[in-house]
Amino acid sequence: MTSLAHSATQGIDPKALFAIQDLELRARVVVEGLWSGLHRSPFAGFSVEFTEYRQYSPGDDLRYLDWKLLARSDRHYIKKFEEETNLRCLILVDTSRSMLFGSRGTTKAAYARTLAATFAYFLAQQRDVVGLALFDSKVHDYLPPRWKPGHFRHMMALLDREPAGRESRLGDALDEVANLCPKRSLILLLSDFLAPVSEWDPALARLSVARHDIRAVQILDPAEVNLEFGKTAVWEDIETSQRIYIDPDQARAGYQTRFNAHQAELKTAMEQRGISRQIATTDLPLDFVLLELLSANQAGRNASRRRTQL
Amino acid sequence: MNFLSPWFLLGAALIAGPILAHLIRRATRQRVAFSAMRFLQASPPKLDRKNRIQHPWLLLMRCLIVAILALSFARPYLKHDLPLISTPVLPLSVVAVLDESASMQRAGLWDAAVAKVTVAAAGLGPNDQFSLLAVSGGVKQLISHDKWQETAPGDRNSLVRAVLAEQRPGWGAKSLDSGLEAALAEWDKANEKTTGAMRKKIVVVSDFTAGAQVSGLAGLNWPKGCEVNLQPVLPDHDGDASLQWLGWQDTDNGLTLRVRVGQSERSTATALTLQLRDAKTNTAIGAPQKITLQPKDKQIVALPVPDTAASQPLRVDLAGDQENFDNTVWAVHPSPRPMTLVYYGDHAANDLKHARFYLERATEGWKDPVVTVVAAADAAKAPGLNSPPEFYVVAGPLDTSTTATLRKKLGAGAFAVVLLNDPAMVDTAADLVGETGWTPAATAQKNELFGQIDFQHPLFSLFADPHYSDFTHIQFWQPQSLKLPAKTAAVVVAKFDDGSPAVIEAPVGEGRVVIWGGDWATASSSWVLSTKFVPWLQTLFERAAGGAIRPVIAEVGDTGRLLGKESAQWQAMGAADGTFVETTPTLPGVYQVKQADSTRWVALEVSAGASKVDPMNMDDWEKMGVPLHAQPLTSATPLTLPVGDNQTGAVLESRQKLWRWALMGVILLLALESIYSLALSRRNDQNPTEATT
Repeated sequence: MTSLAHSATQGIDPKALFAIQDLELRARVVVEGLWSGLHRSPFAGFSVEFTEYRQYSPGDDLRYLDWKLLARSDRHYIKKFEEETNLRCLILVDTSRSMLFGSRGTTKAAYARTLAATFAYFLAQQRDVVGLALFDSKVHDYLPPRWKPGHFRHMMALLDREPAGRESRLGDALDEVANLCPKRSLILLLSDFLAPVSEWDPALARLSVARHDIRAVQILDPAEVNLEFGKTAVWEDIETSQRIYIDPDQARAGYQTRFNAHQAELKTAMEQRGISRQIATTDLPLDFVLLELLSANQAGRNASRRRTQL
Repeated sequence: MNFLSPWFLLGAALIAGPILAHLIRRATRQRVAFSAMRFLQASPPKLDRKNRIQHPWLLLMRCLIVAILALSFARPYLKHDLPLISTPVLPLSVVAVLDESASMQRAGLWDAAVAKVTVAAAGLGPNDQFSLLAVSGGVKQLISHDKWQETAPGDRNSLVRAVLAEQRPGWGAKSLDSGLEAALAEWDKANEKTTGAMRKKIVVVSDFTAGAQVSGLAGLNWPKGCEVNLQPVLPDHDGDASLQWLGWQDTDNGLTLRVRVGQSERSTATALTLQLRDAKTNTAIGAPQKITLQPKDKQIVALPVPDTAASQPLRVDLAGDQENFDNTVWAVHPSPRPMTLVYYGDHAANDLKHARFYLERATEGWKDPVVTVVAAADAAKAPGLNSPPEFYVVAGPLDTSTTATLRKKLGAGAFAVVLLNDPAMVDTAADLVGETGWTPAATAQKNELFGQIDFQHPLFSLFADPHYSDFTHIQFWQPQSLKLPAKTAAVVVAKFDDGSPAVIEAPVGEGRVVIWGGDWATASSSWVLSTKFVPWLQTLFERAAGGAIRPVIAEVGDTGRLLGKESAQWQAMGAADGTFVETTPTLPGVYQVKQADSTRWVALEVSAGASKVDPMNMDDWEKMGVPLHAQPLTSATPLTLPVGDNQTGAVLESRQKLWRWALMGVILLLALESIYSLALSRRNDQNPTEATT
């Protein structure tokens, strides 16, 4: 997967990308760059399909009257169309306080929001239906998946808003999403997944059982991966404000052991639910992540189709 | 290395400050925000010394800055570098300027001033120079450099004490700028005689009041290395109420004498009384006038003077004040000079066609000289012994005897005007002047104007200003000119348009004859109706009376304006022997002055500036570029005095000035510290070790 991404594009330096203030422009830069790398037409994936005729009744929009049929048969029929979409997608973005951490200038929250905007822009370009849910301890902003003018702008405005930064309760938020979005969708879940797996695993299981196609992107800061960060001092938890005296050199080995254990537990939980997961550290170019995500999406679609055939 | 002020080295203990700051800062600022705290376990802090000090190089620089500052304040010097023998201390030249102005009359000032001058002289060595100047209106030299050098070193202090014992504060103005200028001139004189370089110091001993004249200091050229040492003396009483002469005023109710009463800032006596007195008998005139005046206030008081007392010398006394030196004002009313205008011409006083009519009206009401117009015939009838000086206007022909009489009087200094209202009057004028060959001449036109006027001549100098020099509207309808011989003493002062003489002045002995080319009547010219006629005539009469009237009141030390250039003799009021002396008086009061043959009363007042006893703004000295030096007088280091360790150290320290190098080092270290701190903060910015939240 990674090799595909690297062959397709050189990657956009996150520092240069995050220097762009406008979120929509940032998303466009990533997506257009990706397309130019892939040489794909941006106008594929949309069609309007005729479904049936219906007897005209007064009050119907005359635009959809079949004039040719009227000329031929002298009958009034209305043509009905069905909007065909490739994808119905809901992007879940974690905006809790722990996402506000960033050791290299870019916070995880900013990275997640840009990634969400990028993915949304990409799908919108393909006329796919995209929705957005922002959550911390609960879902505080929700835009159902729709295709209508202004919807994308509305989504960008929501993403552009600075998060209030409350504590993270991923389980509650996922349960809420399950209620808000009963229709089967592709759910892109952007979070750091640093909370104990036991807190959110049941909710994720319920969401998975509801036949949603779930893709998880774990957004981490490089410092969270290897603890190559900080100095001997009193460290303070961003979410709980708990303070502990830490010497990073001393604490590094133990940290990595516990962090790897958590990651392993996370991986197991995801695999058990059939959820694909990818890790994006904030120093990774966004177009790489997007490309990897799209590849996983395609693979997921194929698997889903195979599951349906079975 | 030795130190002149070693106790400043204790300041090095302030090094603890930066050390503590480096420790405390670490403890307070260390907060690292992190998100995955769940996976961290607390690690026990290491408290070894190496870890406690943050940025040791920065700390070292800061400690060095404090240490070197303490070192520089301790005034270090190197003892082995002792060049005292090879470069001896230069001798000192001191000029002491002692203020003897009127304000030094205040209680407690004079003795303190004398003591300061004595100390200044006592601290000098045998090779040092000293001179003493006293300032009171003018500048008086009490001890010259030569006198000092001539006196044996052991007797010099006695000399100073003896000279000062004879001195008393005077009544003149506090012209300190003149005193300092004279002090600089002393050095100029001394430099011509001495070849070696000297340190120069001016010591000014004064009460430094606001009335001191220091404006002249701005223009002085101070020699290199010159120091001015101000030695103030303080009076027993701060406050003072002053009395100042303003002038005479003629009012409808009679003559009044105007004085100004002022209070100083710190004056406490507010209830004051003014009393006008006869200066001769000291008897009170009128009732005392009570006034109440708050500090810093001023009030102008007009004291009515009875007509009977106006001609007498007067004095005004101020009572109720603590300081008495400026509580009396002396006053003399200027006596008008009477003159008699003797008119030669058979014309009636009310005859509009002749000059007499206009002369009587032009001279009416003059305050000086007071002119009485009489016809020549009347004047001859009653010539008094004490008759006032005469002025002659000749408007008709004179007989031989009258001409001779007039010439005699003119020769003694009288003035005459001859009006050429007839061609025959030219001969009269020539006879009066005593010349021949004067012939009448007709002008080119019947109507003439002044064509050329010599405004440098005293006759017309009054109108020299271009504002007043327009004579074009004065017409002569019956001009009469004359032709002068080639050799004549007469001077043509004004000419008609055709170039012929219009106004001529000729000397006759001490006196003068003015010949006017025409008559002074409206039928002859418009001159008598001109606005220039009366001032012109009055100027001529003033010349005849001996010049403009001189003031009769002046400040002590400023008698020049009273006397002019003539020599004078003085007699104090009530002098027992009644003799006049040449010496100009230095005390305020009323005096009789004899100049030439005239005697008049004059009054000398205390200098107005002396009454301004509020402290002067000492910043003015520095603003005017005076090289002030605040060292005490004893700092004059005698060459032969035994030099103690501390004094040697002071000399060495002042020469080596190691503190300057130390301060330069501090500045360098400060710059390094700033650059290093900046680099550290930038490094922190570029390589962040704390989370972005």
